[in-house]
Amino acid sequence: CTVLGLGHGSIAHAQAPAASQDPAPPPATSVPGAIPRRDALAGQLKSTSMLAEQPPGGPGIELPTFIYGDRLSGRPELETVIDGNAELRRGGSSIRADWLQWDQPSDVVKARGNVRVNSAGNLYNGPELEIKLDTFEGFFTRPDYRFLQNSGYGVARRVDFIDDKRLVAYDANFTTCQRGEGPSWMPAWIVNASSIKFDKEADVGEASGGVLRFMSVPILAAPTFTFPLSDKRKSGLLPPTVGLSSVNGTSLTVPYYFDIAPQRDATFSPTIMSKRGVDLAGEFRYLERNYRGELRASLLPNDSLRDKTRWSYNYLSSGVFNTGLSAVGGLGFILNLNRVSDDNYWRDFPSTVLSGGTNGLSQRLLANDASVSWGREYFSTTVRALKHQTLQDVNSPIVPPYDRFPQLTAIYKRINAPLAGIGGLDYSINTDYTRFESDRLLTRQPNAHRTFALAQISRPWIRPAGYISPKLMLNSTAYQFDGPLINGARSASRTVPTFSLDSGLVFERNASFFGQAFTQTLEPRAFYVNTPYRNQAALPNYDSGLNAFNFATLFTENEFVGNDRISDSNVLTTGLTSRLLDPDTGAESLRVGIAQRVRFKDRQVRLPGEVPVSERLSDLLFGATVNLTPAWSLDTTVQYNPKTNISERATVGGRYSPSNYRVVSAAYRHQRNVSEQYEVGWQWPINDLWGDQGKDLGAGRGQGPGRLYSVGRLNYSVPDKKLVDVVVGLEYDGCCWIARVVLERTQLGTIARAGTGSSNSTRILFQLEFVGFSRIGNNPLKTLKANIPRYQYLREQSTTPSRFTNYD
Amino acid sequence: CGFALRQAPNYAFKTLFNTAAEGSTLGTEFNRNLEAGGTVKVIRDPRLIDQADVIFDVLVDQREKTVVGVNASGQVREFQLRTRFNFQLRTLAGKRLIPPTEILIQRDISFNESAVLAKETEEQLLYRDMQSDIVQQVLRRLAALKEL
Repeated sequence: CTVLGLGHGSIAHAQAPAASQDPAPPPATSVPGAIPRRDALAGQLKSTSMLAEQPPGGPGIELPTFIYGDRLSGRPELETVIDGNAELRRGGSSIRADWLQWDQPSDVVKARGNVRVNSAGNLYNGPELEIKLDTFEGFFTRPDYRFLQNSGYGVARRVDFIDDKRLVAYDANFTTCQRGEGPSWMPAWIVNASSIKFDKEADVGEASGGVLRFMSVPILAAPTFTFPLSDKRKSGLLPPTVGLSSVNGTSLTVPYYFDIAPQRDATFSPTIMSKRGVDLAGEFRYLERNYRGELRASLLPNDSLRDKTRWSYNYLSSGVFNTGLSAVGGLGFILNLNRVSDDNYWRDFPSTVLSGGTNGLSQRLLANDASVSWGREYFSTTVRALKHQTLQDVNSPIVPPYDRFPQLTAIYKRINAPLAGIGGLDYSINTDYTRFESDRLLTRQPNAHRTFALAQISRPWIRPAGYISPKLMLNSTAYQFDGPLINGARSASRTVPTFSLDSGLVFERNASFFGQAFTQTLEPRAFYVNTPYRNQAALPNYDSGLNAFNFATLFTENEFVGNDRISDSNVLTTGLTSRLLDPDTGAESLRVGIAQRVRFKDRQVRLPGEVPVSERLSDLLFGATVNLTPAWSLDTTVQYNPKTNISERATVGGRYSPSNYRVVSAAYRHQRNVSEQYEVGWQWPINDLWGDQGKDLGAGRGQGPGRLYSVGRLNYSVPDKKLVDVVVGLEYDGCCWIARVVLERTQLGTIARAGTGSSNSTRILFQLEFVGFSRIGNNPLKTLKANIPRYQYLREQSTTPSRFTNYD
Repeated sequence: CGFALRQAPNYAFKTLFNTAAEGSTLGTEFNRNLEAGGTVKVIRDPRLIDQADVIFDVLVDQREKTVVGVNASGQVREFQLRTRFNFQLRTLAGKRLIPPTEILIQRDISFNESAVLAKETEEQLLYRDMQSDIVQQVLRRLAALKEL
């Protein structure tokens, strides 16, 4: 956005020729060959410690006063009159006028004719001023004003200065829309009020008898309302959102932000939905030195669509609790609680904070997880409770996962420590007791108490050229079942030893690719595991699963994740990785890797229902990551079966992001017989189509006025032959206002639902944001940030501009 | 074809202070790999910070998890796990040797509600693997520093 001078009058007020007897300030020098001054907005100017951001002075400090002008008269120590190009400066303030009188005993300045005041970067222009310099108390007639903080400006019939931080403007207006070209220009939004109190200490403007107009249409009128004068956190309204939804009808959300304390805030977001009623949603966050937390909750009393009250909450908290006992010290705790009122909640409120994301695990499975841990030197212990809420759907039921209620663990772990006279050992003992509980009718196996101990000892030798690490493990597990197993047993136990040997080498050479010098590495790795067979066929499965096939799991001892199955292994995994490194920075530009497992005997241990496989050679795993330039990146992993020539699992993702606000990403994800999806996400200015490239103002500032941005993400499911997830939107940046339209379609099941006749929920959201009138950031359309990879907000909190931005 | 076994990296510093919390798994792995070359000593006692040639600051070490695949029944089938790591290297006097640098690593993980306990363990394994990857990438960047 452009920054212009005050509404009228020229900004470049030529320096008055100083009277010859005056100590002339050093003129602004223009050294030939010096670096040309660049646009300060682009942040090219660097701050220097020579310029103090805080004006000098303070209580009891008398600052010198400088005066300049064409003709100087008056009595020393009493009054001074300057006629013609008058200028008076003290500290961070300057006053210029055609005529100026300074009464020294009272410290009052009277100025007339083209009066221009600059108070620490805030500018005032008008015909007549009277002000007491030391307290900044006085008045200004018919001034216009412009504030440094947010480039907000306006005109008033009169301004009363209360002090240097507070002023009241009468019959005033205010906008942050910068003047455009042409005499017919009108600000997109403007506040007119009988009075506006500007408090620059609290950074709040308070309008009395005010009306907010957008495109000359009044859209808000109230006896009083406030607006922020800076990007600083402030209580106030956030931009409202209007929505049209296939499920909820028409809706209006008006969020209000509460700035409670520097470490606490809250947002209250009531939504009126024509088909449902009023949803009361809120968020409360706190961040203390030892603990932090976020609570989100919503309540929709008497949902008229389902004739019941709907609610949800999500509470995240973590930190250290000090017991006050020196023998115990602090206890760490983590809480992640999620709950909703009913099984249909995820369908009816698909975009609540609970759905998706990290908080709630997934839309239909909500975790309630609480743990307390304690540690001292090499010992740590944890008590944990994990319960799930599973939202069932008759058309796609979920076998509910096991709850850990409770889980107790104790770990003793030493790294690089001596044991029995041998140095450099890593050893640990993990013990774990867990009570597994779920719905027996659905899991078809008894609940159980399980205890296991895992002892490990290894001796790694790590050198720059490579490493080798032999390791011994012993896993001993005991079960107590609630009911008999198929073989009638009510308890079981199992002990499995394992030996493994991990080794790797690193070779290097200087190489040149794509006309660029690189350090190329070649890193072979070999990992051998030997675990004898122990019959585990009768054991139920609580927390085990077959490992996914990737570079991390290929190089682990157990082919199962979890502790109910320990695979019998006589396998060797070999891998080869090569990297290209930038020799100047060490940054990784490219990496390719390949790995395969060779089995010397068939694995006999299997999960319930797992089909036996007799293969000596595993699938091939291939991975590549390319980051040759910051604009491009490519990431791919392919699991390939060389015998059938079929890719079992593939992930290919790429991103092109040449600048701020320009990003396109695409991904293909395939799990054979499970899912196959294409994903495209983007944020791109539409103005690029007709060659309007905009301006690079940096992140969080947009690309200049009058630009239209397209944003979106599409997920296409190949087996379903349809788009399963759609978010597309347009954003218009009018510089002092931003308009958004977002269309969202979420998949809610394969069967069309009664009531709406559709298997998905579609909604359109509209939003109008007045930049500088409502608080920036914490955008209610979190949809965009959450759904579009690398989406950037058009406006984000920026740093306070320097007072020297407006210096004269 | 020109490949030779990697030599001990020639770090431009002899002592380093790591601001990552002592006992954090990343800190332990980083310190151990750095000292493996035999030329650098990691200073662990904050009181001896003035003996360090360089200070290693961990600015961001954040784990993220987003849904990247949903089936037609609205069930999540793929998550993406990301580790965002941001560090800088400076002298005690404040000279920036390596400006704040971000390393972002991502891994996809399949998901199934019924196997959530197994997936939880698998997730931890992937995060640990990403952490080792980050440690190796950071060490390469430290080794590329030619002078203080």
